[in-house]
Amino acid sequence: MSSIEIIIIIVGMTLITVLTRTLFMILGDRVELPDIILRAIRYAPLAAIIAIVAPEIILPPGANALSQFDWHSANIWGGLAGFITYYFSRKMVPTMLVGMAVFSLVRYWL
Amino acid sequence: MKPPLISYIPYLGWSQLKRMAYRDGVSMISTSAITISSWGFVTGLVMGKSSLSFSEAIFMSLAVYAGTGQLAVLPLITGGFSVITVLLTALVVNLRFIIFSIGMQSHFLHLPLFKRCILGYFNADFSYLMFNKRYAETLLPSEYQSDKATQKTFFMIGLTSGGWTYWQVGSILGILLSSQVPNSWGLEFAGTLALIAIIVPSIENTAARWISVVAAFVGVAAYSLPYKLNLTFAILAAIALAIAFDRIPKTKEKQ
Repeated sequence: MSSIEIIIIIVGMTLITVLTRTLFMILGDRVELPDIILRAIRYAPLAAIIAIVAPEIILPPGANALSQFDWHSANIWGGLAGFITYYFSRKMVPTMLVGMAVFSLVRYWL
Repeated sequence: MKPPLISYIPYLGWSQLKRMAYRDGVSMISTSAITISSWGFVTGLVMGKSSLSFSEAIFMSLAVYAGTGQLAVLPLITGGFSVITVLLTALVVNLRFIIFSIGMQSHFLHLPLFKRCILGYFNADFSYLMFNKRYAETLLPSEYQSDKATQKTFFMIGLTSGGWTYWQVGSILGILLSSQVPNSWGLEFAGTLALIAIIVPSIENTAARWISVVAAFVGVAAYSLPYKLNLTFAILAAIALAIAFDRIPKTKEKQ
């Protein structure tokens, strides 16, 4: 990706931050978003994040189909370890340490 | 007579009331200083290890100021996806901020539009939660000139300026330190772990769990499609499911 494209992305993302965080501060109570739209978009961010993370965890690096699934992939075990650690501790630092440790161990020894 | 110059300096020129409210906000956000900085730190590390240059990473940190969006977008940038794909992803991940802005606007109607927008831009997840914990009720139009309105504003300035500072310190430290970490450590994986930590608390109810399973399945099954279409399909599936779950009577849902 060229540096011009990177600059466009950064400026664009800045505008997106401004727009989303201030949208109703600008619109005020003149416009009301229908409830159905608010509820429909409620899980969109979650779905987007999951659709980014799931292939990274489940598919081995470089693979692009589930048929290439490999139990030896470090991402699966590191991801699982991170998930379990965060689920029980709700803390970021132990999640990073455990997740990265398992990821590295599997990568070097499996 | 012109007011003395010092009255234009933030904090020093403020009244006792404003200072107290501001300090209140700063000390409240400081209870989460470690959490905010460590999130910033990981985001900084991942930015530093991505295909962004050092100055681009610093620019992104200071200007974009939306951690989840940055973490979500970095693998797409490194993967060479188009600018449009990257920006649309950032937009969808940031959609939750629209809901924040609905919550915030009724609290700050006493401020001029420009100041309201400044507060909105700096209002990230922690300040939003903490503000709502402190102030549940909105102001009546008759209270717009009152001390209560001033307190609210300066409490929010304290929350947001503290939150921004903690985030940026962590983030810039992460960017600086990332160059010291060898590439062979696979530090990009920290970004995936951070996103997992964002996912976990959001799957607390039945609807969210089903939507997550479907999004994961669609995300993987459609992975080989071009233009990151798997993302689009996962989002569309989530929207369809959210509407469907909404139609199920609430009594059926097990808590």
